[in-house]
Amino acid sequence: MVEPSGQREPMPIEIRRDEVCQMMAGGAALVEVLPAEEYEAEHLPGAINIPLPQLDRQTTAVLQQDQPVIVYCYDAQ
Amino acid sequence: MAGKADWFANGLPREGTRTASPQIGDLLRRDVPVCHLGDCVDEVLQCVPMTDWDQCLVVNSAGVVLGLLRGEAWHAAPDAPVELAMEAGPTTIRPNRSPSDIRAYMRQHGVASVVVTSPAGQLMGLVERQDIERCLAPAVQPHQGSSRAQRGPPRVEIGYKLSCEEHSPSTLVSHAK
Repeated sequence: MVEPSGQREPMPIEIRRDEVCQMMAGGAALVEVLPAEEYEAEHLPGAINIPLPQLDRQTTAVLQQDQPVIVYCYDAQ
Repeated sequence: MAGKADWFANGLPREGTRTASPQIGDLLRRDVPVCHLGDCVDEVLQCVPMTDWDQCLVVNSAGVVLGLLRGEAWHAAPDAPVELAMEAGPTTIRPNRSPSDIRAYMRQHGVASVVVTSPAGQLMGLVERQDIERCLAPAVQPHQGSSRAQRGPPRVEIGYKLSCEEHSPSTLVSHAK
């Protein structure tokens, strides 16, 4: 994806559990994109909730731009 | 691609309102003895009684559960390899299952314990029905572990401990020969 400024945005990559742990220790943000009820019931430690339909520039403004962001949902389905 | 289902199925930490309810992973006995396919039944049989357990899980070098030695298996020829005596492919469950579901399963099948593994099949421990029953009993008294848990890990150290990672089961018989 190319920003209006001409800069290319980094593309998402798939990571595994051990990488999640490493990146969390390094300050990465965790975002659960499931509905709020599911997030409130159970989520990964330290994760914030931005339900997928609400995922936009405004709701992601709380994320630090210089840190990786790990986005997860329920499973691969 | 794995999500939070995979995370919880591996017994990793969680937050949220549901964490107030115990899961099978909270009731795990992690000190269950293990042996390997090439061990002799007699060799294992000599060690197991000293650990307070009457069964022994058979795992490969990656800790993946392959079988279970218990009951009739102990009557196999003493020099028989574990591979020939074990119950192959025992039923396993994940640590994020609810105790009430597993209690229903254990009652239905008349089993006293169930093996708990990660989704990849790696041994995490064993859950005993008595612990589940105690956990789900009316809150007359706070939940306490079983007598085995209160006594802690096996008091008798046998053979070599090949894997000393946290939560690793005790290795009864070493192949580091």
